[in-house]
Amino acid sequence: MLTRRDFLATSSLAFVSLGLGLPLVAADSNGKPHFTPRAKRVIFLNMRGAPSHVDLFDPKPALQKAQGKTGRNGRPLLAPPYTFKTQGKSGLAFSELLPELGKQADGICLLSGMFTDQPNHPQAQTKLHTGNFQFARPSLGAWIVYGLGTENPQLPGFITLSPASGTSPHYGSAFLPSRFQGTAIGRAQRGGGRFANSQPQLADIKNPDLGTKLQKQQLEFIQELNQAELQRQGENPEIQGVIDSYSMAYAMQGSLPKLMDLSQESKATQALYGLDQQDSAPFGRECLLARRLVEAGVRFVEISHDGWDHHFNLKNQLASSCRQIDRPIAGLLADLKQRGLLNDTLVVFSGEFGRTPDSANGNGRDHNFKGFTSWMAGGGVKCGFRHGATDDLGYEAVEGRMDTHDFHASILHLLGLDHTRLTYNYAGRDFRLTDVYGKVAKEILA
Amino acid sequence: MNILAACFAALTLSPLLTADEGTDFFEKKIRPALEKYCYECHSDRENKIRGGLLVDTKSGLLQGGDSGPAIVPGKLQESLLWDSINHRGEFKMPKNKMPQAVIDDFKAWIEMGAPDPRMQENLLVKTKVTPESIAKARSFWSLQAPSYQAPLSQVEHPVDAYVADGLAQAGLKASPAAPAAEILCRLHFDLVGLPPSPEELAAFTSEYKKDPDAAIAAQADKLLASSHFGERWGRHWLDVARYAESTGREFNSTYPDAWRYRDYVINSFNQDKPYDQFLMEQIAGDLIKIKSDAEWTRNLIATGFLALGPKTLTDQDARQFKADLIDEQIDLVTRGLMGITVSCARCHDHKFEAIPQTDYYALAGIFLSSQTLYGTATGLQNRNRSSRIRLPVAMPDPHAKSIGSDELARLKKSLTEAESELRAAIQARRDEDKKGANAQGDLRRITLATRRVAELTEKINSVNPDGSPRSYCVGMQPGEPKQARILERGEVGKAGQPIERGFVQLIGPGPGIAKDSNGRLELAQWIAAKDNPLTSRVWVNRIWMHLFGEGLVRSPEDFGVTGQAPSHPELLDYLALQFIQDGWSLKKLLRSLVTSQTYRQSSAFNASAFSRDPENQKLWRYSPRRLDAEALRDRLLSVSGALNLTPPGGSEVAKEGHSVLDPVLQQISTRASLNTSCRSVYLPILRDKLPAMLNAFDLGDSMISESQRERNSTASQALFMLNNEIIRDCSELLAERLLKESPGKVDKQLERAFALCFLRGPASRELSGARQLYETVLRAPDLKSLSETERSRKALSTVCQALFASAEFRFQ
Repeated sequence: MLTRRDFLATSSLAFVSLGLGLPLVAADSNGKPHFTPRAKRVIFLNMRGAPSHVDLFDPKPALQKAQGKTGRNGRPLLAPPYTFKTQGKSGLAFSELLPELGKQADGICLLSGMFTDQPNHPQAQTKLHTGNFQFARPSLGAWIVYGLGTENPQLPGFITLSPASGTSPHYGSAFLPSRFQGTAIGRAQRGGGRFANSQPQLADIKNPDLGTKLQKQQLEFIQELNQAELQRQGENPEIQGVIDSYSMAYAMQGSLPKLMDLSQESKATQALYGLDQQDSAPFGRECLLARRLVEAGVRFVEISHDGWDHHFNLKNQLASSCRQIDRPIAGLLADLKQRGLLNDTLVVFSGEFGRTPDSANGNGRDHNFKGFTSWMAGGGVKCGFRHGATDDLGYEAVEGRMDTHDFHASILHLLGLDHTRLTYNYAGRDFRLTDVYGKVAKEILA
Repeated sequence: MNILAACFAALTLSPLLTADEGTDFFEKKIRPALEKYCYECHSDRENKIRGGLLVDTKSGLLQGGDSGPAIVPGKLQESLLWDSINHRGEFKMPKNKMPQAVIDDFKAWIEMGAPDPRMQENLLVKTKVTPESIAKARSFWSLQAPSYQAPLSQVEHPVDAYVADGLAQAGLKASPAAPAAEILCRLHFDLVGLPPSPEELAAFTSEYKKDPDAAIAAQADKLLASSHFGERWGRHWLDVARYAESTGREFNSTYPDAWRYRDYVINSFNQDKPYDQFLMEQIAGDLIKIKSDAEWTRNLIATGFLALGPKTLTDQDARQFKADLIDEQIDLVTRGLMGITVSCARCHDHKFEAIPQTDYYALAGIFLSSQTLYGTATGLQNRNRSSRIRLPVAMPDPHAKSIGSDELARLKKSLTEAESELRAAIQARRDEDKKGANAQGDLRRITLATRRVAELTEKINSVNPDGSPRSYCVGMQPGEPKQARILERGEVGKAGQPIERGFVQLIGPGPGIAKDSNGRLELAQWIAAKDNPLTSRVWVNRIWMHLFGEGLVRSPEDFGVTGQAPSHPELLDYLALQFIQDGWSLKKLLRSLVTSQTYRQSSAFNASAFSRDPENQKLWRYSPRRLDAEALRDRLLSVSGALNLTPPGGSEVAKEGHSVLDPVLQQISTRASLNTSCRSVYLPILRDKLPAMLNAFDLGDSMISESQRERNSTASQALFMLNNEIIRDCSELLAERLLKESPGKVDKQLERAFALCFLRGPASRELSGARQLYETVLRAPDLKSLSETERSRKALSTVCQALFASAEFRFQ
């Protein structure tokens, strides 16, 4: 009987250097940008529930003076309960609730002329992610990985951390091949306890019954069986796909747990992200994880922060939400910068819309899709710059107006992709992220 | 301001009013009042549409909200708005009553005929699609009546003859027959979705050697008669029906009665119900003439087809919700049943097909004339609640429990208490609101009270007054016949002219819809008609696809101009017509297809044929392909000996009743994944909480009608196979089975494992590889602490897991 060693030696298929080093090319992705990119990867900070632009990023002196006066809709105006501070050389103003982020002002490009056409959260969130609220369309991250391919074949190109339940279309690939879809790590729990004390976990990443060495032996045997099957069947991309999937899985098993182990970071770094404080630790962990993932070559990482829907009791709630994100995001920007990653990493911060300057009940703000502020930092955007504006009270975007398609077109542009040429033929038609719309905001390019 | 002034206004303005004067009065008195008192909650401008009522357009006021028209011009007492602003009746609006003078203005205004200059009276949405362009577009192949010519090849089986014609044209040859084991596997997985046992293989092989045709025919007959047939083919249909047991989206409420529809589908396939009748029942079961209550019950359950779609229950705009519901139903019956994308015409004329936007609203009117009853959990966020249909014949859920009379009385008492607590909580919230204090505590109190009321109400309504369980289903009921108004750009706020109900002209005329008729029965008749050019073609194409991997038309959901042309047009039309001639019988069609030579071809690779036809469009071989999620899980359970073939009855979802709580849904899903040994078709299918294994292996998300599954190979599948608990459990079960069957003889155990998993013995290299792995585990230093028996079991289960994880195990 042949020994295993003999088998390997005589097998015509020299193979099974399991995973590590096996090249995996995203076969049907474009794989390269259309022109020289300014950014290679994206961290998308999704603020679910819609933060108030007039309280955080878009100061309105007129609103400050108008407390209690009647606004456009016959409702009382609500003066921002907190003050703004001008920051850095740029003099951009940020809310006093975001002191740490404010220190990064000179690295941020505020987009104050944002607007959308969806007044409700679910539709507006879907639109923000896919450009279309009605139909299943690939998400921004899927388009980007499709357009640029993956930087590290050992990791998925698109990872989303703890996505909210019911939001799978926001990281789906729709009609794009499924390898471009976002890999979800962890899952947000509705109604409290979301962050508890744990960080996002990946399902089935470890076999508790079998040690690593034995599992490697087992995997080699699986791949032997697969290769034999491939040989029996001849040309079969699906069998090849299975073989590749085991290589990727093995690589992920090896790389992800270590990548996700934040204890490898120094105390100072952990503190930079606010991990030492209860309020900021949960989101801080996700921000730190996002940095580790992009550093390792993940093309698009999304993290979301819930709870910005401040219809009531804005004063307390806004302060609490800001405490949760201020240090983590400021830490992320500072950390990317000190590691030289910020030059070619685009950080994007956006909610699905903004909030009204007036108030139904005198202590909160309602949905405002006609004007809000998003921002970008890093990878090729003009730093310490404000693009666009809303009217005196913050009701409506009046200058430098950008809708979702313009926003998407601009992100793709920074990545070296022409949004009119990034197409995929499906059901006889060339589809685009921006459909037939979208204009790159040239003003924001550095 | 006083009564005198109001009288003055009424006197001077009422009968002799000119248009300008009316406008003037509106602009001076009414518009400012509406803005001041009503816009906050009832205007597009504020994105608030409480109760579905908008007051910032004329049509909004006239159409009214959920409770009916807000004003009836000239008729004060019939105007709901009048009662509301006087704080009489159901609504007391606004919360703080308007000043009497303003109320008097409204009185005067309504009495003078409610002149309102705000919107152009007739928004006319025009279509550019002409009757001529529709007539011209009908020449497209899929809209022509099917027709075929006899094949050229002189082969007995018509399918083989048409395929041979295609091969000959391309200079290709059919492959020889596959080995008996492969053919048997195909028959089993394709017809019942279960693997054959090695013993069944031995029996089949000996029959096959004697007479291949007879052996295959006999096997096909046996499988077609099996009750597992419906479980397999019913699942294919459930994909088309985008079946699931919850609404999905943010407020993911369960449908505890959905399983009745699932079982109806399985039974229909087992009975080989004629396809036209099957469609009629699902679209218009509530309207079909019946002979018995049992039949009525079945037909009501069938209409669950239209009711079980995904829903955004949190939508505050009732009009939008209704429009989306109807859109989802239109897509289901058009793309889902006829392979044509009509819902593209929701916002504008179809870009590619000659389908005017008006045709979409002609269909929409049919659905608008019906009520969709879908149940769902109560809760503050659920703004679109609905009731369910009580079944004429009780068919209790197997998990349903009776409630004793004492208990029932207790429940009713608790409900009264809970309701008063809810009222108190709401009042407390209102008081707090006025003070502007922190209302968080009250919100929680309201949430808890609402939940309690809902739970108790559901419990009480789940039984009859005598405490015996009641049976419900979700589905359709006729409503008042109505025409839908066409919506400019599909926006619910931009209603144009009403559209006469009717069908998609491009596909062909249907029966007329009488003014007082509901219209859904006529819709069903139009779709299930013999002369509908699409219905039969689309279904036989999908049947072909389930057997051969790809359809004759490779875009099974698009038979329109953007779809693909058939690879074998004559064959497709032959099958479509033969299917109707055979009484729309699926089993007859399947029997004919699986007994063809084409079906039993080898799947072996052939480089020269591959270079000419890499996609195997001409069918020069059988296309190897991965099993779908259900077949893979059932195979896993079957081989390891864990599979329980008895239908469990009901559903894990029904056990929990109406629920929306994330942990409950998650628990249902997890429990079902790990501890349930029933066939996969009976696992609970909750949107966004699919059973882990089915999810990993490309079960669709049930958000839209789907006929062809994705077949991905992803790293998460590989991780699942390497690490997931189900796989590890099944590996141990198989190891135990092997140890019991061949104690002490390792090679025998390994050979048996190959036979069970792959229906073949191991090649010598494979056996030595398996043996090698076995020995490595057996001698692994980290397992030293285990007993020898435990170690050998561990070694064996490690090999078994590898076989499960291999590509061959998931390919057919």
